[in-house]
Amino acid sequence: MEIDATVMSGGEAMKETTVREGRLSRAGGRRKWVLPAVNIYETPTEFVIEAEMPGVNRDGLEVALEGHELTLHGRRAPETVEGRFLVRERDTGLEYRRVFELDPTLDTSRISARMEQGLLRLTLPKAQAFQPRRIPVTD
Amino acid sequence: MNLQTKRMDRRTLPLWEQLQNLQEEMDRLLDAAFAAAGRTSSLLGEHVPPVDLIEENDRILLRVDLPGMRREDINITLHDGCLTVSGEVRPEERYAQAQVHRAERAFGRFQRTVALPTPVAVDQIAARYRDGVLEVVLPKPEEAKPKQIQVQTD
Repeated sequence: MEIDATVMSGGEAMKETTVREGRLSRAGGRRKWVLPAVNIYETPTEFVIEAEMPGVNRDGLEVALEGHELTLHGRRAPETVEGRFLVRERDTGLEYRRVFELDPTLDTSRISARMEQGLLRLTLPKAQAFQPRRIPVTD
Repeated sequence: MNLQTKRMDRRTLPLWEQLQNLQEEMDRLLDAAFAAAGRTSSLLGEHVPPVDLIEENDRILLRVDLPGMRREDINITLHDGCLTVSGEVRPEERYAQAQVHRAERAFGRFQRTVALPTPVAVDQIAARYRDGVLEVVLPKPEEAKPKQIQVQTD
């Protein structure tokens, strides 16, 4: 089995690089892109990425994996309003977009995604070989 | 924040492409900085969800962005012409034990209050929570709706 260099370099280095922010390409021109707020956390068996995309439903959501690059893309439709705004703080008619570089130790074939009330939750299981194991001690 | 500077790549690119890359990187950093500033939670330890208050001819609308909540954790109250939305955003159970790499979401209690511009028909207020957006519809009573007055001629 091949073991990636970032994993070999020890605990701290692995923690920092396991899910790394990727570059956001602006080749698309003048479209309005917003970074969704994300939480990334790790349990012994998996990584979880949560991204807040209020106003985005399942149809407007795209999760793409290309090699180890994971792209989240959510389209939030503009809201039509017939009245006048007394308070206006919300931002609609925009695209959420964020890119992550996944560590090779993640099992990309088993990534699962769930969209609930504008919160995308991705579960990224670690490959079996990188999950904690109890090693039996024999006499 | 991880800023990956790929020096090797840059040296081989034409100047304008280097500049373009630099601009993209700057944009990304600024976006992230503004996104963080917009979420005052990280600075003040409190959570201020954004609201829109819209007055239409026959109703008033309040919309609040509240991604990832449970319906039962949202409270809406009307008192003295003020509408208050409050609640608590809770992390998943396994979050407490997990090793956290990035924490940009705001957790905890929040409360937003808006003063309504007109009286509302209290018994007809309806609220819907969909795609992480709360919408409260407050119909105006007959006497608060704008009326067109016909000009009579003899």
